[in-house]
Amino acid sequence: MKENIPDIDQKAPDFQVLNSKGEEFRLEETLKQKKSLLLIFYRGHW
Amino acid sequence: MAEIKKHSQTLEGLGVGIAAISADDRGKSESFRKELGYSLDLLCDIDRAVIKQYHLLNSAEHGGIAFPAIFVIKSNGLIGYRSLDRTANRVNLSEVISYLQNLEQNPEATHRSETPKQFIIPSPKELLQFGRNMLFRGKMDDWKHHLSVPFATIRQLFRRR
Repeated sequence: MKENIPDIDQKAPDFQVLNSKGEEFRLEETLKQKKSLLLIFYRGHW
Repeated sequence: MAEIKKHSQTLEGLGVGIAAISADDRGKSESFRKELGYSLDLLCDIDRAVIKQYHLLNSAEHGGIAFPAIFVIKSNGLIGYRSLDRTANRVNLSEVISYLQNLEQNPEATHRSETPKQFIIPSPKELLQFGRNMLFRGKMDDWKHHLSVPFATIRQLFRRR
């Protein structure tokens, strides 16, 4: 399972998802506007 | 996440976008974003599609949540930095920032970091919060997961000998 997690020098899988304000977020689009993106997966807020 | 707020100016100065993703719904994420008082994208992967796409689904807890992980994705779409943390939600942001500063000089820079599995001794405040969360918001999966931890640990200890 762990070996399937995207690794360095690999292309980050593109995705599209809504943010908390209901706006659409698309990885590829964001990367066009920024030098780089810090993508954080977190457990969620309890 | 509070760590990010602390370093937000440094990150902004570096021209880095920040997006944090979890399985939380919009209502929960939006109140968390307001609580943070800092503008960043909190992405709501309610159906866990992205979490699964990145192979980070922890199905044992809370009806399926994300294992903590950090990626720095460069503008060409390639992953430059990856950090996986299977134990807790501890973010070593100073390491990420020094990577990002290094990236300014050297666009080819990469870094892979992994926190080894370890026991973390929680503070009384953290224990209290954990207890409260389990009592009021814990789902059956959480109870099963946390009640099985002592047995799994004992089994592992015996297996090692």
